[in-house]
Amino acid sequence: MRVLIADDDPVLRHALKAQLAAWQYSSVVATNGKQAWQVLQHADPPLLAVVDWNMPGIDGVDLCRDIRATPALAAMYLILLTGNQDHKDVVAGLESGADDYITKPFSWDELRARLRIGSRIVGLQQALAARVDELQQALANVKRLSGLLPICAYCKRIRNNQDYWMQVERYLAEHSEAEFSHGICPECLRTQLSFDHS
Amino acid sequence: MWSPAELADRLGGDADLARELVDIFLVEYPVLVQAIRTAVDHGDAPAIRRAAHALRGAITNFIDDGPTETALAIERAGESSRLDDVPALVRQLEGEIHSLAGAMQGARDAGPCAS
Repeated sequence: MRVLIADDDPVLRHALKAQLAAWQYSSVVATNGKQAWQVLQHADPPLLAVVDWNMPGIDGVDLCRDIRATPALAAMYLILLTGNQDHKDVVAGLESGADDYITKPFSWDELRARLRIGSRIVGLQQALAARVDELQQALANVKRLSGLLPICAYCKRIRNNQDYWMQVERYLAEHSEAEFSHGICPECLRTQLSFDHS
Repeated sequence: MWSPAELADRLGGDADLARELVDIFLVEYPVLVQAIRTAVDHGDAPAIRRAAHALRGAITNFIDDGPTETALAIERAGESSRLDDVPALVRQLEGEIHSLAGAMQGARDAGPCAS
């Protein structure tokens, strides 16, 4: 999985890139918020991001807000990385749209575990989106029978969209998954064929 | 006190990566310290806060106390625009950074960070 790293600290940037590679992630590196935003404008952007709060230009919080306001990036999992440890900063960071928040100094094991959570959630979202696509595709293929059907009061034929009056069973067969098995009901047996059980 | 072995250990035992981070820091930290000095010279509290925060972020990659705490004190002074103590704090920070950089340089000259 590809991860966006956005941090203006060259030491941490280098460490993040190396550690992520060791953990089998590929990474795209941005040195500030503006560059990170540009990366996200390309086709197939990374779905996981580690974003520093304090960066020149667009900071991490603004970047999270911009990402959340962009439908195409809505599925991104955002980890906000910051030296701000106050409770109100944690709340503000999460309210900006970050999914997770890690304060510096942090343990690399903790970051790895949190990335694994993000990766799992992104994977689940992708599987869910694929399933929704499949269902939408299936729904489009299902023959739908709904709305007001013009039916002859006498012969019970139904008028189709081409203004053609069809036998009711043929119409239903073409517009639904129903199939017909022909038989004769007792009433018709009596009135149409003059056959009486009594 | 900074320890090269501890840094490598925190990085999963990757002594090469530890050495690379030290190299980057030794190049970058004078620029970050100079940014604080410039901001102090201009009496620019927001710039002092930003510069101290950037330096603190760089130092926390290596050490949690000493210069990290001093940089935080400068950052907070900038945030509250109470700059009276800042020049003394900057002098203290420069001394602490100088010691840290010296230890890093010594470790680098002595060989692998993990040793």
